[in-house]
Amino acid sequence: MTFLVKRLMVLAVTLFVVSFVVFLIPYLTPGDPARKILRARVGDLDADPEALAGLRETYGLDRPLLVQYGDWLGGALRGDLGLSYTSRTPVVDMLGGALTVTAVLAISTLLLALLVAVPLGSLAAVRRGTPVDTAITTVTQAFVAVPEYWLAPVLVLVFSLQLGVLPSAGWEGPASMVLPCLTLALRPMSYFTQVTRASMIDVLGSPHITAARARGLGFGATMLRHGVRNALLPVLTLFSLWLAGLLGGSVVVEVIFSIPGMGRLLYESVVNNDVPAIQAGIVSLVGLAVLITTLTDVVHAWVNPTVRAPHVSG
Amino acid sequence: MALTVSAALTLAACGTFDGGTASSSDGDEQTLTVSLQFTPRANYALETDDALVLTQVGCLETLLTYDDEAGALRPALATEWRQTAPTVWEFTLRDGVTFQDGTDLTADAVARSLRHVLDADTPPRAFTPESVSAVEAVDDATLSITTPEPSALLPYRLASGNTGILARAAYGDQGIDPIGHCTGPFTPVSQVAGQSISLERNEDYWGEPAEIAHVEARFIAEGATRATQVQTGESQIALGVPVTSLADLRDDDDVEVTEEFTPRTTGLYFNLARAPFDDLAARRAVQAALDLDAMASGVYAGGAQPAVGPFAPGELWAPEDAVAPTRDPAAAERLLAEAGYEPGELSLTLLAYTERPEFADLAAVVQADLEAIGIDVEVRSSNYSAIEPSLLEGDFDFALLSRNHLTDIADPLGYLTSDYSCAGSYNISQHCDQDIDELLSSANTMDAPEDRATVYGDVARHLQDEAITAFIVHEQTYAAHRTSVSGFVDDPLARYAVTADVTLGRS
Repeated sequence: MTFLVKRLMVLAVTLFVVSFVVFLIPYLTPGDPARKILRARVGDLDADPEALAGLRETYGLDRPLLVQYGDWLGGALRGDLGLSYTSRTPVVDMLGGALTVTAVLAISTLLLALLVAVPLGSLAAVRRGTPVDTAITTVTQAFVAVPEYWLAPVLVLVFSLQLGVLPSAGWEGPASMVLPCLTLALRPMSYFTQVTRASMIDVLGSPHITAARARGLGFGATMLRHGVRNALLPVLTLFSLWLAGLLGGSVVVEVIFSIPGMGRLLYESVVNNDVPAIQAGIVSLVGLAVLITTLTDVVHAWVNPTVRAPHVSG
Repeated sequence: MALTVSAALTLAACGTFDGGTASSSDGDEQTLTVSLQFTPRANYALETDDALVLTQVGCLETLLTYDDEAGALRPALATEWRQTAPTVWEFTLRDGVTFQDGTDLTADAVARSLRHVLDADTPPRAFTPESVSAVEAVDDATLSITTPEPSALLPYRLASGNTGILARAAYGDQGIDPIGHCTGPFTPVSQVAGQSISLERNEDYWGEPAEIAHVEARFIAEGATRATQVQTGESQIALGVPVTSLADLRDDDDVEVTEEFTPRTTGLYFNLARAPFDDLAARRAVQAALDLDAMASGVYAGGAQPAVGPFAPGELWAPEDAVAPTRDPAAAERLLAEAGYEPGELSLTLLAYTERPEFADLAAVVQADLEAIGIDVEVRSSNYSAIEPSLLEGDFDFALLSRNHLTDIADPLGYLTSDYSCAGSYNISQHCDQDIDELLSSANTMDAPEDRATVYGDVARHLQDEAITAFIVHEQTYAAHRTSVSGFVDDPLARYAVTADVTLGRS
């Protein structure tokens, strides 16, 4: 209970600090906020003075920064994150849609990565020192270095242009998820494989595996019941870190594949100086990251009893 | 467990998809898919650039249209227009036009629509309270528009997409709802914010109805993706194709590429208010030092032409004898000496902005060209917002800018006035010449387009001869379409893409 209360307090303080810093950033960078907003609506460098004056009045941009921030904070506490400067629609609606898209993309990507990485990493560990291990290790190490902006066009070239089996862009059905997921999954898959391998090697050398085998448990059953479960702990931690990162959206992948997710939304909000959207977007993402970390700790404790009951062993 | 997660994920994913049907290949002669480069982001507010998306997809129409080849206005929702008093224009509406929701196009509906734009918190440059003082319905079929001062250009304002006309029901508390509220050949039936808009043929269109039954317009920001979509057949038309994709597209037998000049010219804007560019010889030295051919063919990979002035050859306003300056380093050195500068004496800062990726290379070429005549150039490149204060406060030597000269209406008066008149709102060069101001002022009252063209030609010649700006390139735009598409015109002003004339067969 104390653990949860502490976590919630950390979350509240973190969100407060982050929201203040994020609010300040657009005002600390050079340029007139009203001109930036107008340029987002009308793509012209020249700005109509009357329109600028109208914008300053509408959004109260001439008021002191702290007053503007106080207004935002008051609204946020009532659940009102304001209207986007650009679309003039509630920011909550924009974020909800984008976050759902990105969450689906991120979780699908990481599940795909896990599905490949756990068997592959386990195989490398079991066949440690053999050509199979060398091949898996070398290939996954190489995959870590493959950038998304290179991989995405290559996949489009092969699967959309040459073979014509998958859509090259859009968010229109399960088929449109395949190429973005593959692009994003390569790097986490490589890391997950390497961590699974290292973790499995540790677990395989531990006394309880030897004991299980001595009790007559078969190799496969030992691996599943004792090996993989214990080896998964560090992979789960890595999974949660990747998840928190991917929820922020991948600008490159979302732009190339024209996916209406968080990465594209935040990128466009920054370009358009859409302060309410940036503010709400970053605060939501930080909140989610803290939440995921907390959940990971809970899952960690569930998978590893020694974490949730340290007083027993102590 | 894994199955449960997968099932939940699939359900969640289905909820996020836009429900559009991906049309592939050229098989369906009734559905046209078009990839647009601009994504509407202001909830289709007509005072913003979102209006262009609605005109591009054949939904939104204006009272008049501008025929850029003829350089003349044509009837659209209005059939006649006349100046009934020095500050009053009257428009006669086309008979028998209905909005897609079945309501009639009346002068009252048009006046209401135009007033909505005029009263916006950020009215469009084409239609501001400074240029229009009143919009009123005279009777059901006649609209009257009053200007604060006599203006020959008022009808051009009614050809801007920002002054498009929507039915009364389109204007709600939550912004503009274009679904079923236009007058064009295609009726929007559904949209997915930031993704796409779906349209169906308007069977009650006042003109010749379209052949195509369905249109799916996708908003794809990435140029290479748009190019790929037209190659795979996922789209039949792609606008704004990047130069880097042209070779692949031209090699594809099923794809045709079209090219047009845009009304956009990139130039080196000098700060005339301080040394060294307060001196004509110094400006001409830079003009003579620049290798425009190399920039057009190298930096733009042939996707631009060396500039002959602010207007491209072929535009009505470009002087007939205008030619692009050729590189002459010897003359540049001589001019620099004439301005009183020894080689190596000048050290200048060039501002450039990152929103235009080609500016990094362009700035490097300018740097090299000027180094060859002994001018040391430091390039300061950042996003436009960061350099804007320096530009507006006159705290710079020279800057690379890409300017659209038809940003408000299909006439360059707005651009020339804002950039080069003494009180211009974007006169960052700080150019002030009373003769030029008088010329520009006179153009506003000239009825005949050719008379105005003569004035703009004179101003363009002045800007080039006096090296007020060193114009670098006229930019081109490329579009690609499947060979199965007929009747598509790549509009250089980006107003139209899907029209009633576009048809779809088999390639």
